[in-house]
Amino acid sequence: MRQRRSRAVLAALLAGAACGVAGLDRAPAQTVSLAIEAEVLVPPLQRLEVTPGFLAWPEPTPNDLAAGHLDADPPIRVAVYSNIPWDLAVRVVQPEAGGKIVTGTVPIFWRTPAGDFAPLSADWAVVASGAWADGEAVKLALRIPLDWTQARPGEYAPRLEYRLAPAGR
Amino acid sequence: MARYTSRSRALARIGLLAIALGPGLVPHGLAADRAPAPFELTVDAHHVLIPAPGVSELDDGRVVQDPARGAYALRVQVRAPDSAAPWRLYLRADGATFRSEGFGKPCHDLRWKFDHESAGAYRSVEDQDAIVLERPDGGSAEIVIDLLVDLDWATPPGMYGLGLVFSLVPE
Repeated sequence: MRQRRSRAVLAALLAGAACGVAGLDRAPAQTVSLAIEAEVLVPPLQRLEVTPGFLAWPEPTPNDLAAGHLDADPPIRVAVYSNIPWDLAVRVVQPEAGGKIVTGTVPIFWRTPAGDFAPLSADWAVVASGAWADGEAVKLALRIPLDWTQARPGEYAPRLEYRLAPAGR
Repeated sequence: MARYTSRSRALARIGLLAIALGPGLVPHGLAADRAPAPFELTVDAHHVLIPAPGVSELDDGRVVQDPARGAYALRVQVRAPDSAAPWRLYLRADGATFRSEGFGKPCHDLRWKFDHESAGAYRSVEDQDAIVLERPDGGSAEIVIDLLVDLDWATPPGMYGLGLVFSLVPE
């Protein structure tokens, strides 16, 4: 009788210990989380492409002189790329007369969005603007005024310069 | 006889108490030895600075963590050395948009792929958990991740930040 009771007690003790281990085994594993930060710094970026890079004006004909002007055909195409508000400006640099191939200066006009022609000068003139641009094409229709009284025979080499800058600068 | 009975009853009470308080009576050493090993999730960087894009990146529409030189953005390690318990690793963004000044760049503009995968394998990061890796047989694992950000000329300048949350979920 005593021996049987002692065995029962031992069994109870072992059962208690076993429950303890089993209880721990059943504990649910926890979700583990961690966070990282990914960052990218986007700088202000701009680019422009001018086509053609070299503009060869056609030789004026008597018809051009009669019409009073000579147009660049096709117009110059400027592709604008900018991730900030932008201004595209143009100016003309006239080589001094008396050079090897340059006879003198020649005025150049551009057609404004309103449709009229305005002279370009040595000062920057804003010809187009925008908030941002992904290859936005700006067409510059250029014109040289000519007539029988003003057009002196010779060679002329005005240089057009383009500037793409943040708006308002 | 009566004395033996009383002692036996006392011992029986102790046995019942052991059943009731079983877990508390287990020696600490035994519990530590038999408990499942804890999962461990680590990364080699908590801050990933993706290279600043240039003109060509805006043309291409993306900037990547320079895979041409074998670089990677992030190495993630899951340690479960003594466990065969299955697990899944999830990834989500901590918001629907990048943190930036006034431009709501969506989180799915950030994409990821395993470093060994081809460039066509990039997947978008969403603001809900998506499975990165699962191990039905458990065990440890290490993954190397590349990151890519979709951007273009319409992306205003500024700093764009997005939190990435990895979650290791035992199944």
